[in-house]
Amino acid sequence: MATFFGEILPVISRAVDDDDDDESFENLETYVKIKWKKEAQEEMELTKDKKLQVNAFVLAVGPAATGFTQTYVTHKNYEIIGAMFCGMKEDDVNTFGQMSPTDKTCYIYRKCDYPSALVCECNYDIRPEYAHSFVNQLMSCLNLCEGHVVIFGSTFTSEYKSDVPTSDMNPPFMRALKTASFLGTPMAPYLEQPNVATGLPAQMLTYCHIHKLNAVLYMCYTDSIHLDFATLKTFQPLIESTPVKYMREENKKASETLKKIVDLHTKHSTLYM
Amino acid sequence: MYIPADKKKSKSFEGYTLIVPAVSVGNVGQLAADLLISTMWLERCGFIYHDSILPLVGNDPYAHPEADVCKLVTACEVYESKLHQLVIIQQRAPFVKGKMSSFRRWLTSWVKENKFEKLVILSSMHAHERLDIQLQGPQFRYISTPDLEAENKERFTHDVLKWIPLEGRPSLEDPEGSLYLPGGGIAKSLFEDCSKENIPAIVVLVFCAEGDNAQDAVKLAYNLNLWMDLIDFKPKYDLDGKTIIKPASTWRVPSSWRLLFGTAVDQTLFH
Repeated sequence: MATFFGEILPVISRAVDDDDDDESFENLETYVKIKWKKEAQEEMELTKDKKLQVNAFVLAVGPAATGFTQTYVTHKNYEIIGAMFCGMKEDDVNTFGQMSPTDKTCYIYRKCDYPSALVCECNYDIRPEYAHSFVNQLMSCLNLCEGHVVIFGSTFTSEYKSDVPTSDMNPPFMRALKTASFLGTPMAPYLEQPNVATGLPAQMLTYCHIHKLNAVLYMCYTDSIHLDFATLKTFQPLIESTPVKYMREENKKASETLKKIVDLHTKHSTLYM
Repeated sequence: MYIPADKKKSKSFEGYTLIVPAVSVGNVGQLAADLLISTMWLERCGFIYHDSILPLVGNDPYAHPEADVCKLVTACEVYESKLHQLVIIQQRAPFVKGKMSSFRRWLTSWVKENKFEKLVILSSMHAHERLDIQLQGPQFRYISTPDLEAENKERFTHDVLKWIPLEGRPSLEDPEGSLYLPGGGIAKSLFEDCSKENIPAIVVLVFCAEGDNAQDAVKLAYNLNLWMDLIDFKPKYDLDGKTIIKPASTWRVPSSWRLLFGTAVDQTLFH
């Protein structure tokens, strides 16, 4: 394609030619691996369908969502029962020891006094191509038939299309999508067409929708490249959402925890300090 | 795998026509499928959940722009029309690189399992790859398996349709000319798979370039409609001979087509 200035540029097209099959994603099914702690595995063995019975499940994807759940949900009375790893081999050993909020980890927590409440905090950048495997492996171990699922995610306002200019939208702002089985009203306006959600949050919501589970996705649109206080604050009202309100205890040090998380993320981003 | 929306209703697609859009240049096939589904007010009858398609969720693409409800749409869904014995797949997300053949294998086995009568593949081709003779005149082409060609030859050559078969390209392997569909996505390989498996199939395409491809989609849908007689844009008399019915005056553009070029420019830039 020749441009106005006379240079020749390659034609960019979403159409993918057939002979593209030569490049492929490495080991789609085995790249993401779920590992459970021994006690959780033993529990699964005891059930009829080899799955954990779960009534409340939270999936937090990305630093903003996980920052929110770490501050308000998993800060007290939660234990790690499993984790998802990317690029690990079957016999690699890992201690579940990386505990900083900024570490690239994906832990699965369970509430100590409410064992059917689980939270999965995913700080990995899971590529959309691996989302299918991630969700399948996770869901193959959980029985969510009667349960409630909530998914928290964040993305940039540059992805958001509307008639209203972005500055008038007062970012960061929240949007929601829900499955047909969820009969309540989410705590944020519905995501309007032509906007869509992609990646791991979308894969999880798709799974829930197809399997007729109650699920809501809350997506925070932020204009800040790095995690900031405003983005975390946008999630705050969602502590009253179902099922989060049944899975949490008050955190008197919430502001401090939020500040610590923002500081940890800021350390990597400032050019001049 | 295919998951029906309502597991209680057992469904048979035997004898139905399946329309599949290929993710091709300008996404014309998918846009044309959107027009068909939207104008005919088709109901979603199921989902396709396959690891070859990237994940995507959104609100109802066919709802009224002012509607404030949430009807979830996922990456690949199936719509049906009992009246026209028609099933349309709509794919809204691209394929995972390296997984297209896996999807094709699944699709051809699904087509055979459900005993679809024929497969219509909606696609498009890079306009810059046209031969000289293709530069002018109608930009619509088709290519079909011999059985469908024989069955429909009269209609295709008739004055109303005047469909032109896609010109073949001579290559080193095949001096006679073989199927050449650059930018057509899986259309070519899917068509070849169907030929091998004796599934009657036809690829309908337009030549286009990336951009605002709405008009290309209308052209594709219009030609398909001329052949398959799905939507009647002209008013006509009902069975009683007196009431006039007008199914559609024009193609119904879904609300998901809004804001093709994104959010409007922020005017504060110019202060």
